[in-house]
Amino acid sequence: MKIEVMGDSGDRCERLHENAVAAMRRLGRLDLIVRVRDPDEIAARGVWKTPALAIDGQVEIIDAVPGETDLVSMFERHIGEDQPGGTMH
Amino acid sequence: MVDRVLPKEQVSAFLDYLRRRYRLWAPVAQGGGFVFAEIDHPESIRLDYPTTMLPPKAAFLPPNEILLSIDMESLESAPPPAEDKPIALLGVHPCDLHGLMRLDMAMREEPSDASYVSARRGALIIGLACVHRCRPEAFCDSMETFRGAAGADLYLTPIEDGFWVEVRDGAEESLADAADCFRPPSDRQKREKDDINRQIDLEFSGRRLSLETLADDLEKTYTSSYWAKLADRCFSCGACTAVCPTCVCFDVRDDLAGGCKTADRCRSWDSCLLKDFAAVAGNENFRPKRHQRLRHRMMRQGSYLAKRFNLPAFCVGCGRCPAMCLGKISPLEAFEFSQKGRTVHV
Repeated sequence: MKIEVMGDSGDRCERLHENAVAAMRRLGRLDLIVRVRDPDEIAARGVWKTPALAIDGQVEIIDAVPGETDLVSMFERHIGEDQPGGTMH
Repeated sequence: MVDRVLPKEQVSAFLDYLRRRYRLWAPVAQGGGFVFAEIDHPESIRLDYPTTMLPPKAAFLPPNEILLSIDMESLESAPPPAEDKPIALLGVHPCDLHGLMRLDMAMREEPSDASYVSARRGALIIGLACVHRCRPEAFCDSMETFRGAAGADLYLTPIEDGFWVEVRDGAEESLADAADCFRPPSDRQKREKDDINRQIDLEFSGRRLSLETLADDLEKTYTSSYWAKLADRCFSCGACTAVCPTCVCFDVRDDLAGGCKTADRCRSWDSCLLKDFAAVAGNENFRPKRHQRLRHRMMRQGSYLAKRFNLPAFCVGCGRCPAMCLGKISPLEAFEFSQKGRTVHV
């Protein structure tokens, strides 16, 4: 899975990024988490408000900061549809 | 804003209070859907309703109403007698709260509409949070109208013990003698409310428009062939305006009643989608073509009235018009078309 956290600065963007890292750690996975900071690149994806989060290119969250638990279940849904990613164990 | 809790066991006492003091309107089941109606039996109230066919606008701006009656002999005229009690509108979802705020702006703009202002005076508006999307056509996430406490005197959020109640500053007096229905919230209820707020943010976090630029972006599409293509799906039937919480256009006619003894000046909802809406003397019509009428409505909702009232948009994304439309036309299609390829800063 490729996770993209969109948003340059601001505590909501930082919190979403931290929650995404924590959720991935809880799942014991090493999937890629990328931070997209360039506003034009974000707008080109049709995202007008940040923070936002995309999973494998599909924008799932805009203008919200789900908790670690919400993100774990969201990632699990995608893992189920995906091949197994790098796992730590 | 003051926070209270309305426990389940106090809800019926609160409804009794409302019915004593107000003409209570609330959502009830009807014809396989839900409508806002004046309540005779509190047990018919359905606060678990997803949305209604018609917006609560009908409580203050009914589909048909008599504005004035004229005695044909004395030629004296008088408005209909005022109602004894104001209206209490219970269970208004956020999109409709945003709709009522826009309706207020339009109908109170000078010269204000006397009949609407009179019907609205002293009314108590009780909002009800949406925790889930009501239907696929709703686009309150894109219009950012899924949060709604502003515009309500009380704003209810369902919690396990009953309802969390946000009381607007200044609304306490209208609840003075119902105060014992409410309790201060406990810490557990506070945590539950915060959790529900996070769920709401997540439930409605899938889409956004660039609302700050929508009015200008939409106007730039005025000469695009997009509108003719979209109008291929339009029957010009006016269903969209009939169910719209922010459409305010009406027609006025005089009816002779009571054996020509009185004449009633009546008003009824009108629709800019109907062919003769913009017909004038001399067989002229400002918008004879279907795509012109469809474009006009979308421009009003996404640009003209937004600019006039300094709002991001006049449309509140309730989803009623695409749900009712035979061609399934949604304002969101036009709004998103107007912002394709936009590279604005976030």
